[in-house]
Amino acid sequence: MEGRISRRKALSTIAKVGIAAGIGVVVGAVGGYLGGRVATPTVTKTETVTKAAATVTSTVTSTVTVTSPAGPATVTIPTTPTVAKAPLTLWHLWTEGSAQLDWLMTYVEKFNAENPRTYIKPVYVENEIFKRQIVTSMAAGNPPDIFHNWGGWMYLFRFAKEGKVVDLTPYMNDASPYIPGVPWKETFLPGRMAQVRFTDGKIYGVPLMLLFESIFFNRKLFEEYDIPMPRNEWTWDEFKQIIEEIKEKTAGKEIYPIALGNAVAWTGLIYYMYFVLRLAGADYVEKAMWDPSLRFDTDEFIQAGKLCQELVDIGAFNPGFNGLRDTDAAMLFANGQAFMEAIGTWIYGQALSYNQENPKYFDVVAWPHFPGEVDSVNLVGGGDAYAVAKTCKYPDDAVRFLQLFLSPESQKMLLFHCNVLPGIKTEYLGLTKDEEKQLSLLAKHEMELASQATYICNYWDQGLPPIITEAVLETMIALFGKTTTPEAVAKKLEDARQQWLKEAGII
Amino acid sequence: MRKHPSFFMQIILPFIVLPLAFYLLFRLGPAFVALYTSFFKWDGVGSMKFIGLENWINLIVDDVFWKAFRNNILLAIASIGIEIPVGLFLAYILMIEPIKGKIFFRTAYFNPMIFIPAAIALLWKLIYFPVGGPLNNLLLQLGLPKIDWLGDPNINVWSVILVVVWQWTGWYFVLSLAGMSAIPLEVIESAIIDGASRFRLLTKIIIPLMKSNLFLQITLATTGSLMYFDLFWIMVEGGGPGHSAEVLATWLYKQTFMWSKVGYSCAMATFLTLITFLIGFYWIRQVARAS
Amino acid sequence: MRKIRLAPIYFVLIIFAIIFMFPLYWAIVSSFKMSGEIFTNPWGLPNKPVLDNYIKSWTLGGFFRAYINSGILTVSTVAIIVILSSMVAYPLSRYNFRGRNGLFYFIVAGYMIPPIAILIPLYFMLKSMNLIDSLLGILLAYVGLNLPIPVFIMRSYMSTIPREIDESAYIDGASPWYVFWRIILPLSKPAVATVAIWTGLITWQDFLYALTILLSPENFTVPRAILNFYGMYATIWGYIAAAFIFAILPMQIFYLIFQRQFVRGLTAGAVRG
Repeated sequence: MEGRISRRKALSTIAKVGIAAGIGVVVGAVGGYLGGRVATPTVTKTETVTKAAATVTSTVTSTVTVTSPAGPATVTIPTTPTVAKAPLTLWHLWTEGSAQLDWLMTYVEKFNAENPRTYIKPVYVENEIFKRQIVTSMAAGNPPDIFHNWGGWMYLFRFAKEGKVVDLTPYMNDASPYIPGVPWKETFLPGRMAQVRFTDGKIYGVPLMLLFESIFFNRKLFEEYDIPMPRNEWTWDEFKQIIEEIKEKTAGKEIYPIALGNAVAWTGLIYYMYFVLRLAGADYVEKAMWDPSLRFDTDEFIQAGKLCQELVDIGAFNPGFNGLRDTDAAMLFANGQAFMEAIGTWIYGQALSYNQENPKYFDVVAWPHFPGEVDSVNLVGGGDAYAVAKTCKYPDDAVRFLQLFLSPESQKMLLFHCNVLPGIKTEYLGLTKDEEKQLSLLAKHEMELASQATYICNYWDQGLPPIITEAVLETMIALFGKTTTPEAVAKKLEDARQQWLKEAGII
Repeated sequence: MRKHPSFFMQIILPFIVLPLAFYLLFRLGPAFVALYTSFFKWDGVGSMKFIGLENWINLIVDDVFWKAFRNNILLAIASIGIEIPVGLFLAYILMIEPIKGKIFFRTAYFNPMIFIPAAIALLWKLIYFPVGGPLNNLLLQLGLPKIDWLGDPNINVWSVILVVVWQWTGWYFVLSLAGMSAIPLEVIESAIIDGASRFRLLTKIIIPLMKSNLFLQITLATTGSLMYFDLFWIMVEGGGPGHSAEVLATWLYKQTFMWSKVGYSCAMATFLTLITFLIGFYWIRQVARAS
Repeated sequence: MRKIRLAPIYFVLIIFAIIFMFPLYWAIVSSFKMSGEIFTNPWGLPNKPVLDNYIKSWTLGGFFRAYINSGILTVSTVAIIVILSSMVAYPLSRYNFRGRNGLFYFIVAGYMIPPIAILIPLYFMLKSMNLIDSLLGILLAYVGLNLPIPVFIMRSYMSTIPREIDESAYIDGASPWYVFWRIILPLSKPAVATVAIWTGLITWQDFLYALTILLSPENFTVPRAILNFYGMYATIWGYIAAAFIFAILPMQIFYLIFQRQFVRGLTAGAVRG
């Protein structure tokens, strides 16, 4: 009996401790939930709660970026503000250690130091998660004050239509304090402006940069294997010939003509978009959003699908491309295991994180040409933009930050530190002769291509309404995986477009 | 033991109320909410629109749904056809033969079960990597052609099934072990004395005596295969070309979280619940009958 | 039975051991290599072991936070489930009241409701309570998820406890709660262990609920954190291998120490027909 009593006693004390712990944990979890809310600008509330339940709840620093700060750049929030500055949350997609994040933080800190009333609170959100989260938080009414977007229908215009985004046109019609003498809107590249200007004529976003997609290639590999270098005027047949030659000369090695990771679908989409651009025109798709007489199940679209599958058939891509992501393809390209990749201008920065050597030899070329093509000069592209949510309590401050972020000095940092093309016209950059010399061959060629373009076709998976985007992404995976036909793809796209036209009340 | 009827409910109720509330709120209730929602069209934020059986009709004509269902069935077949027999076989050997280090083998075989499935998915994604991954590397060294494990629409579902089977065989192995150890030793010994061979011992004595255990294993295998999510979601993002590696759970998930078709996914959810119930009940009855 | 040579038997057993353990071996071995070596020397031991992968993936992956979140959630879920399931099992195992069996099967049948099937309604329910992206929200979901089987396990075991124990306690004037809390529950220690292991394993490993309900990185559990980590560093294989080790380490240690209880616990519920 004694043994049982002492065991019982022990167990009951354990149970008591367990209950106490359980209650403490539940309380902590509640505190954690209270502290874990990212987007609401209720500064004082979160600060006091988190300090109390320190072990469980999110702390103030963790709402700045995901990862532990590597250096001083990430800690921007004053721990004991003498005057309580209101935070302006900013959702961005740039990972720790990326050049873009450096760029952002430089100007965030600058703004925060100079600004008495508010401070920018950057929050990192992973790319795919962001796509879901921005929609849900907009709907829930607690979006971030400033948010990343890609212009176009998928996010920016959708929110603008619902009246959830601040109309920036008044700010745009005036001059920015950093580029005096000209309306702010005139300083941007026209192709980019088109992507943030809604059908009601109002401007809802601020383009940060220019990104465009095309074929990038590794000069060193071409020289090493003595294969004719791609050139801007090259034709589709030349392109195929080069692929064949590459395959011949690298037989048996793990080096492939083109790197592709199509599990994410938008990488294969690049091919399809460009084929349609060449064969049907750069603004065909945008026009078709409003014009019932233009269709997607035309010969041009079917031909585009056939061309994609042709590339698959001749073995232009690395094995396993159906199951790989864009990051995997970037790795192959960066490590010199592929001669070319159809990707965007961000590839330089991305490749550097895999390989320091090879990206130096990257170059860009225009898309191959077709006899009788409709469009020879334009590009597929877009770029990050920032917009201000209507729920922001200090829109003027938010805009002031954006103006700072778009100043010539800032845009030059973008160009030289991040190797990304600025969103403002070259003439407003104020490049010195020395700076011009510093531009890499890749950057020069990119700017050349960009300056030739009169219209930039926004990526279909960002710029088009969700219902068409779904169809596009799904069909691209099937198309390159050869589980469907080009005709079926074109039909599916047209069906989606018809549904959009119905829902938009156009037909 | 009976308490006075007047105290009856006062005593029983407090014990039941709280757990029952949790159960109704967070397990059973939602199942009925799903049933209810399946008759509406809803995007999660706006208002719900009653559309009757439209979601259900769309379900029947949705060929991705049937493709996913087929994949679940493939998984179930692999589970029943590989995991259970292999588990049984290994358990049998370990039990019958005088093996040293049984604990080592038992630990090793069951170990994959304690890995986090999400972690396994990522590790195997690397193992399956087409250019430079260890598996294809091995094939290359053996002079065999590379295999596009996760990209090829014809085989990627099997690549994932392989990993599921790899993880779960240990579970069925341990279940068989437990089932076998429940058989009284005398029965086995007398069979051996009667001159039964290993094969006969297994098929004529052990398996029949383990019937309820084996039926339970089959129940777990089929129901588990129907609701499986983790590995398919992580290893083949997007379901693969032509949804070749889609399963019911991933397809259901996408309906709500990618395309805001909440009503439709609830129809799928209700279908899944019904089928799991039917199959579960059928096999549970077999288990009960056999024991 | 004829005596057969054991060598081929050992061979088969070892082959299977290799099959089940080789990915872990590959992960361990790769986690100490720099990424380049993982490609050139996939299966061999590292030439020059490095700790860099572990250091980097620990900080970049936010594992500290993830461990805490997972740990708290698992412990709380286990505690709550043990209490709730035994609470319900107590009257079900000792009192004969009308609807007793019905109630029992009512709860246990809940196991047949797939988690994915109730995920959507649960999500919107939690959303309306503003509990999305909170540990409390996912805790509630986990409780619902884990309730049926532990009830089954607890009742099965409690039924084997002789009712005379209750009787004598009542004669001594104890209240039902006292009998439950101080006598029956402590006597059910093996079943409690089983429930703890079962619930703990399921909660620790859960990915689906964590993916849906948890949105901010500071709330991530371990499974969710490694997915996030993979999204950013997928191509740096050394990091992923190290992250894998971090992900499985706690449960692996637990398993190696308590493996007999693990095995017994996870099968007890199934075998006790």
